[in-house]
Amino acid sequence: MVLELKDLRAGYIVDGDYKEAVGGISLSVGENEVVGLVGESGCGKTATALSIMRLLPQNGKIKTGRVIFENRNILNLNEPQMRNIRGRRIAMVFQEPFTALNPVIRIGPQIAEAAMTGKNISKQKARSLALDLLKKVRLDNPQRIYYDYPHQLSGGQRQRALIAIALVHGPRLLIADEPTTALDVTTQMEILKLLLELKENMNMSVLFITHDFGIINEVADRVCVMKDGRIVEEGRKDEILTLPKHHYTKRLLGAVPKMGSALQQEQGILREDILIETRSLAKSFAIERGLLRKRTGKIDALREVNIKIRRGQAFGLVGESGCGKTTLGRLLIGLIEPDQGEILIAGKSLKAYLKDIPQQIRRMMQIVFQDPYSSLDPRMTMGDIVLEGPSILAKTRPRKEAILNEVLEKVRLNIEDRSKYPHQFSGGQRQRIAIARALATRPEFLILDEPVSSLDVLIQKDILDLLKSLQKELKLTYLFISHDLRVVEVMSDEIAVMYQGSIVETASSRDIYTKPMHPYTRHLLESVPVL
Amino acid sequence: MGKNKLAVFGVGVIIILSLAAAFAPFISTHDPAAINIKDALLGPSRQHFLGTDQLGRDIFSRMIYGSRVALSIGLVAVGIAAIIGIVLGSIAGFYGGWIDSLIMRFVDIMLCFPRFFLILSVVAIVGPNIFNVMVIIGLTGWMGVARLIRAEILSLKSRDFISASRALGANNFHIIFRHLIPNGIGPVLVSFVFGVAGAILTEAGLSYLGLGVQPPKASWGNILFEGRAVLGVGWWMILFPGLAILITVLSFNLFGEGLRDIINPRTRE
Repeated sequence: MVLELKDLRAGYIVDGDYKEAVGGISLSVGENEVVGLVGESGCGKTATALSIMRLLPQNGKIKTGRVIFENRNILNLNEPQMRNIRGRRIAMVFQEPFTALNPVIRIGPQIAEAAMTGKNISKQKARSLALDLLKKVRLDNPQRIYYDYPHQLSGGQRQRALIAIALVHGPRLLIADEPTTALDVTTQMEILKLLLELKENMNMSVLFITHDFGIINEVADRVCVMKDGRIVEEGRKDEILTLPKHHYTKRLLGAVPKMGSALQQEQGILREDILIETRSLAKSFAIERGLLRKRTGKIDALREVNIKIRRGQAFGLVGESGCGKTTLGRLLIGLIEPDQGEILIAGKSLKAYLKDIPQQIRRMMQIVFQDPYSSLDPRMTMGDIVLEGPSILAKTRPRKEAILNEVLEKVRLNIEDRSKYPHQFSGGQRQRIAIARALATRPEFLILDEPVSSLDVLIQKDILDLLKSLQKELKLTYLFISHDLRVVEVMSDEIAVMYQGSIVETASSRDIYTKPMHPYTRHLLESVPVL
Repeated sequence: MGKNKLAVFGVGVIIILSLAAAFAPFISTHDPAAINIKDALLGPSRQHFLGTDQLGRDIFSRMIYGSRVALSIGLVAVGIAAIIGIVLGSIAGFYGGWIDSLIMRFVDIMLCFPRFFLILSVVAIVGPNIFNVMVIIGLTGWMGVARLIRAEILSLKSRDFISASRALGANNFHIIFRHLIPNGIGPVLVSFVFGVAGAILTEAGLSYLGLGVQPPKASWGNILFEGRAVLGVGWWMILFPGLAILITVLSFNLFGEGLRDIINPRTRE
């Protein structure tokens, strides 16, 4: 065994009270093995990783237990001894590749510096080691990247650079804490493959922390399922995935959207009743530099986009971050103005910027955003937030009360909570508030811009189910935007695939899944971590 | 915890000071301007709690009336600065583009002048009196507020709840007054409190140089100014107004610190 945890208990001291985060867990990671630690946010995964590294924040405390690494209980080591293990024998890769690199130091020297800490090696040698590592993590053109600053790299490249730093001393154990969560699906798959390859070549063991069973399926040999600081089930990957025993594992597995669900659905007949249509819609953003805001270039966010959304349909739009899918949503709802092209609503052209849009149309479409933390005004009560639309439309008080009762019931929120503020609700509840706000003007068309991307998998399923039932009940038309093909497939009848501002393929979800035409669609499908 | 206690202390001092200012005629033991040469330069006693100055005026009474000057200058000057700062900062942040550039460059220019010397020279031109001092401190103190509210609005403007509100059909007026100002005002309120402390200090400085509130009207600064001449024999003329300025400015700063913690949700929990 490389690592063994025995009855580890750790927690944080909050306002003088000890709050347990890790409630007595035991697990082991074997030679050259990948162990997946899976659970929802807040279940204690990260606290476990930090306890192993002895890097818990100031108010953190390891209560009892043993962390046996290479036959030594490292909880008994003193700080200098621990420093010899941290980064040398046990390395860690974090979730956020944007904050984990020092923005003012070039990539190469950052790696070289890591190589030189505590070791008596020359600058020359550190430099060649760094270059070597950049090659090892498969960064193209390592000579150039060596002299790049972190902001010049993409998210995936930055994560590779971080992995390179983690590997400088050839660690025995790598702890990867959600290393791909902030990355696009195609980049994610590349990073996962890289990690597995490095594990083989460098003879490492990996403790892989994630919330996504799809990723577990791709990388892990063994799985530990964690809930409320405890491990509820442990076993070989295939056992857990095929024959889960604990009901929580079953719930988690059941909540992962499965690819190919469209195959089971009856393919509805597509009526030619088109609600929303765009004709060669294009939008670019200027890049401004310097004091005088001189235009130095432009980014084409959308080029010649044509889509047709039929009444009553759930239309999926899938693509990587930065591909222009959010821009399309914002254009449709009139938050920004197109450079060229036309938007037709029920056959009539919407030729106007937001302020000129007649109230009738305004009420007809609404939008739900990704992040339920920034999409609700923190200084307004839940009731006021939901009723913002009706208030703007100057509805009477009894009318507003009726609307509030009705929509809260629809999204299954309690009317008694109307005077609470957003921070008093959970993530899932907040997203329900955002949906209720959108429904309060009785729209026909809802733009759902990554509505479940920031939610845990169980809550994600709740919200998806809610959206589905609302669609049926209220005969809504959806534009469902997401980077996650699994979610889009579950939600939509028809899917458009977007790549660098253009729609590369539009087809029914069944066809996208069974016979993808465009190479990018195929690449996207291959990159989805499936169960 | 300890920080909260300090803030409560600050608020307490501010309340006492406000009461003293409001009820000055009832609290003061003498007429603050009454000259009585035969009682000149008496040390603290039961008759004159804090002693008398070289013209025999009662320091305690003068300081009570001085608190009126300090507080009113603090509040009015900050009020003027706040109005200018909020209006210009909001416009700059909300509309952006060349309007923003114009306003912010003006802010930069204003910040180029060393403030105290600017105030000194303007006072020298328009004449030293309490009204002028208030207005000038206000007119030269709005830049921080403008920058602060602009930054707040810039970061709030791109938040999703603003987009959601637009999608619901809200106009600029609704967005500014319903979302931007309630969310952005917190740090600005805190800066007001610090601003009051700064204004009181500036007034004291001006009066000490003889360019602030003019005798016989009492202000803490001009008591200090007069005490300087008799430092060797009348220590009480320096000590008490000095302490008053120190404690008042400190109290406003402590109150501001506490307010910042209350308003900032990250440090609240």
